[in-house]
Amino acid sequence: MISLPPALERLVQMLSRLPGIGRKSATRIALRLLDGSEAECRELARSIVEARERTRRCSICGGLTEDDPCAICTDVRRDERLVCAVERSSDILALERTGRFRGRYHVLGGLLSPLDGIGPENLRIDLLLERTRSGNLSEIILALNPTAEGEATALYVAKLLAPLGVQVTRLASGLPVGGDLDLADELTLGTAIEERREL
Amino acid sequence: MWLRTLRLENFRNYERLELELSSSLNTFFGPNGSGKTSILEAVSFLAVARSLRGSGDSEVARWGEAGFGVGGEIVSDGPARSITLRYAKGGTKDVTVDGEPLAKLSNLVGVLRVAWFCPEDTWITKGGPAARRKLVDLTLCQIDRPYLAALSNYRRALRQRNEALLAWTPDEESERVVEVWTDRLIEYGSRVVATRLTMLPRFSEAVSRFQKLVAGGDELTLRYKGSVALDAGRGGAPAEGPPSDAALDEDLVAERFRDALERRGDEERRRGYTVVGPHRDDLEVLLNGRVLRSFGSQGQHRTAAIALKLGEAAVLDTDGHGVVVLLDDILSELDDRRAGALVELVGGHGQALLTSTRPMPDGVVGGEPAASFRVEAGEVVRQ
Repeated sequence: MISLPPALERLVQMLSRLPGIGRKSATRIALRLLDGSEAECRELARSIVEARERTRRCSICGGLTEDDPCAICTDVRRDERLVCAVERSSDILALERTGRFRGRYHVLGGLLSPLDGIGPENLRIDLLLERTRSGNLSEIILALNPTAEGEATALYVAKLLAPLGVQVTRLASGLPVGGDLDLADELTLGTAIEERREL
Repeated sequence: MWLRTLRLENFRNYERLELELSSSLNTFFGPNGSGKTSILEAVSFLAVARSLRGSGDSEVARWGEAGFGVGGEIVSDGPARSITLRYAKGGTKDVTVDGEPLAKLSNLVGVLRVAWFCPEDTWITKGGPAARRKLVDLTLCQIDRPYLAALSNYRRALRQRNEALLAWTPDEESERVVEVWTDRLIEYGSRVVATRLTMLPRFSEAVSRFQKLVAGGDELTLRYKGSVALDAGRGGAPAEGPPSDAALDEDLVAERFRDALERRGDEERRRGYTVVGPHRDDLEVLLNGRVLRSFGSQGQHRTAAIALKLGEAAVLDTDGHGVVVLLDDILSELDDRRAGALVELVGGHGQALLTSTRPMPDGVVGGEPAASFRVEAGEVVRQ
């Protein structure tokens, strides 16, 4: 078997550590990079390093930003009393794409998972409590995945928030918008029935 | 519903194989190790996306190959559906139904329903509860998708909770972590138990009917033995037979489950694992009202196993969906009378695939098998 030249092999190995990229894809990307100009490669390398150096976590919400606090946390047009708690900073992007939410965010940085050794102390729960106590918040929306870990984490956070007198809500689950009842799976439809609302 | 075509690619000892099956009994005969069971195993991949023989995906790929494929065409009332499953070593298992990739493997379960019967199953009424729970779970998962989701969530929550119990220390935070996993455990677990209880009368009725057909007079019934006492608090002695409708209610199960967990909370925190829940429950098999496990003769166990498996097939077929019965080398375990009754009942039911080291002996089957295949060293020839 012919192996790759050492430098190229190292690149392939680095790339294949990235999520969703196996050795095959890594090799294809590496060869494509070698086909391109040297300037292009430098540009890519520089942008990786720059992104790493300039991006940090917002000290308030935990979202990714270059300026601390982030643009969302400093936007006075957004309702500072309404906070949406999410698992990861990428969830902020998903919620922002909806254009429907005009409050602020709080990134928990994960979900409770004893199996993975993730306990409350590994999440940004304390910071959320602190924010709630000092910030006069009216509502916290728990926008966590409807998985076992998501639901357990939501309950955990809700238990701690309960004595603080803030309203705690969670995202509704149910039918996809524009969907067809016929095509909905039993679980989704079942949840939609349980969580029906009055017209 | 039945499987008209089965295609294998780099599966076990088959490089390539395409079979046209009969809608009733299909017999595969040939020497040991010739690849008969592999054909049944391939069908199990089309049904539940894994091997019901208990092998890992990578073990199934043909020697030296990086993956395998199984395909099939399923005939039902509507248009025929085509399923393709592909597995590549070190990773992915993809399924397409009618050319559309499935987002989740679990979405495949239920399209083609199967009941698998192998020699180890003849001990199902004698051994521990795990095998009987597996029987119930595999049946329910194929007819009730929310059950499949509840069961897999339950298993996840159970592992998380056990880990939390193991790490438990007597402080507020630790207690709160256990509490939120208790909540998940109850949510999913009560759905699991309630669904099992709802299905039980149908299952028990079918098993009892088949027992009479195979063995005559003896009464075979099923009883759910829950680690959560469902009758407690309703007054009177523990109920015999299937619980009343009130017990089937998910909310009631949840309430009882919570009570039981609270009662044994100290013990759980000491031991570091969950001691009550559907993962500890049993499906008791009673012969003439007595628990068969503790007294049955070998013959009684075998007959009961046949009745259970036929009952499973009947439950899978409840709504007329159809079920494919896979009988792996089962005739060798049974005397001619039992074997004859089994094959006749299965053949009259719908599609079945049966493996045997010898051609069907005369007299075992009433009618001619609909299709008979000779299997030898990875070659399958229709007779």
